[in-house]
Amino acid sequence: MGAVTLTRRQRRIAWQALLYALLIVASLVVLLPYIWMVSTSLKSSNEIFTPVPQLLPRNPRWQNYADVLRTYQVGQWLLNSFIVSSIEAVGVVFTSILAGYAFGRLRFWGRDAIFFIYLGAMMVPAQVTVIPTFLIVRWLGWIDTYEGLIVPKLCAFFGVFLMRQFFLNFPSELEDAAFIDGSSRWRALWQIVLPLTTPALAALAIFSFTAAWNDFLWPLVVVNSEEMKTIQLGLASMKGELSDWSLIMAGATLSAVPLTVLYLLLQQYFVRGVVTTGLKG
Amino acid sequence: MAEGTISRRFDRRIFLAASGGALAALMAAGCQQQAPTGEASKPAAGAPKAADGKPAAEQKAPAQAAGKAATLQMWFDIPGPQVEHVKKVNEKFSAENPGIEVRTTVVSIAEMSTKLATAVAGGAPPDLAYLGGPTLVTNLMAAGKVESLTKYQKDIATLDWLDPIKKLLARGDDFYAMPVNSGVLGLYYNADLYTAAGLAPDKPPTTWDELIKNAKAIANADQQVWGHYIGTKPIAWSADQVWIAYLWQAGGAWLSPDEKQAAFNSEAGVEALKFYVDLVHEHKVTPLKAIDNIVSGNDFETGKIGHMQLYPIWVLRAEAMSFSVRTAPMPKHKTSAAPLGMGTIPIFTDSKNKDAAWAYLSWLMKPENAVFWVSGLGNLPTRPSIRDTQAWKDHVVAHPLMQPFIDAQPQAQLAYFGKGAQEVSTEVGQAIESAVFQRKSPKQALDDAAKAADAILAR
Repeated sequence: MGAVTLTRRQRRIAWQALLYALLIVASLVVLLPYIWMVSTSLKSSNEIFTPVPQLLPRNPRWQNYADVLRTYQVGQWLLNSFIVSSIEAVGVVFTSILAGYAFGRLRFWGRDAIFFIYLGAMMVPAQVTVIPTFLIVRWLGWIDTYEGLIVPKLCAFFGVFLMRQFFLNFPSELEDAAFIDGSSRWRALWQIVLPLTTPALAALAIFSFTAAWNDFLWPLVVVNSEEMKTIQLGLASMKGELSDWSLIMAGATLSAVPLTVLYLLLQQYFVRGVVTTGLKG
Repeated sequence: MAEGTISRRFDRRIFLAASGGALAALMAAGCQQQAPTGEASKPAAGAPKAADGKPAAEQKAPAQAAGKAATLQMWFDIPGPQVEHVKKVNEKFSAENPGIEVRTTVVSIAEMSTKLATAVAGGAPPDLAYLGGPTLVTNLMAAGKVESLTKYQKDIATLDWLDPIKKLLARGDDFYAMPVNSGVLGLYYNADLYTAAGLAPDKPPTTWDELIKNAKAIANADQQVWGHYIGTKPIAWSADQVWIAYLWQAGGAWLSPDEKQAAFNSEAGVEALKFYVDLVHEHKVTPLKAIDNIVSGNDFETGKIGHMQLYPIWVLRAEAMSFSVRTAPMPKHKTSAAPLGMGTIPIFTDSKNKDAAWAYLSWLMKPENAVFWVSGLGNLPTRPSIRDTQAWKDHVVAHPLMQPFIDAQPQAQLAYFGKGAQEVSTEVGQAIESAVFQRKSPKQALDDAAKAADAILAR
């Protein structure tokens, strides 16, 4: 019996089919926890712990969403997270632009030394700085306030580093042309340079928003009331031996919605930003 | 053109103006902050500072010093339905103590130590914190961060607290936290599975042998029905906190009498761990997987588990199950033994409202309020005299699953909670996992853990 000979086209189709099959499996592996989360959020308590796990609820219980919003302050927690994450993202982008531009484009005494000291701070784990930061925030009277949640996070080492690398590689001819036309450096930055860095800025904004949305340690130590909790903190405080898991999963599903919407809205910028800056999520 | 050849200077005026504006906006935001509802006692940014550098609002106001008016901040570490009950307790307190409001914030037990450590180190602890288990409170006592309650009530150390609790919290005449509830590890079993297996549902196992016999009668691997659950999750305060009951029942001890060396790798320890291994591999009545209290409870609720061991806080959930659940004291081997659980509320040395906090704790000591607290949480009282009150007896009549826990309480012991307790707990948890998953023999696993524990205790 002779061996089956595939044409080049058939081989390509077979290879693509295999590739797609692998990608579909990989996607399912990634998506399954989310599918399970949404499914559990629609189950009754009795359906969650069954001898044979059921992926889909028999009778989707949308009431769980109403219950979680009524029983816990999930709406307030989502609002807090949105306020905190939005301001942090804008703040990080703003401070990263200024600092990154200074480190990348300006010449001043000790620039590189300062930058490397600054870079060294990136290596210090957040846990090390929690108590000193807490003391400062307490001294300012910002415990359990938006200011306490937001201000210490308005500047991010990573963002400064990212923008500095981007500005270092930015073609100086474009800026020079602006200067020759009488532009100030400030104006050149905002009107010439930044419009061409939109993908990097979008990627930084998304990363900053996501980091703020998912931040747990700092909100944990600085928030003392139910009203000021962020969604991650709130969800963690729902979890106990006797908790209703369908409500926790309903809360978790609600917490994933804003990030999903944000990603879908900014997807093209995000992908371009990742390609441009070499970032990986 | 190269960067350095650009002669045009950065427009500093614009930059400084923008930076200054941003800074001013941030400071203004701080100065104009609004305290969240009810946070009246919180100092505002920019508030005048006293000589010691603390915001003036943190100094004791005369009314608060007299215990007359205050907003107490309470951190509570049991998420779930218990929170609503604590809020009811606090409302009752406020109704009987006008001017003192208690605001509850839920901090899950997994995060309580991180949050509390930061707050205490930062000089901003809550007024009240409910602390489950003995470790956190003893750490705070050792660090001198909690008040002796003897200064508020001279005879508090001599009241009829359960002996292990008294031993934990008393130092001479001083007594460092209010024990508000206790618990004891006990057996929950599925009476319907007992009936289906031809066992008498009113005869739970009283010995290890009976436990194995009943578990084997119940177990059916084809239908994923298991006879008995044990703890195997190798993290601190998990597997070891169940296994210690079996260790004690086999006649073993956790540490040497001077608490300087591990003792859990004795013959009794090896016997207790071999019992675990045999349940899984020889008798095949226990699944081979990572199990902690949450997994135990959740799997038990499927109706496919014969027995498991948990604390009485779980009674409220067991009562609502779709099958018949009963409770029993832990089965004995060479002796009867079970670990004691407990919850305390201390007053912190840096608390802003100590007198009001004491008003709350002393109110909670009254028998009717003590019963109100423990009954809604599904716990046991911390004093025999409270168990004798009519209110508690009525509660037990309404919740008969509580009775075996009360019966077992007098023999219950506290697990080790001293120096390095958490690390030792982790080492033992890992030893249990290693043996159950057959990576090491029970003796080897315990010897390795004992070696690590000795090093921890010697530090």
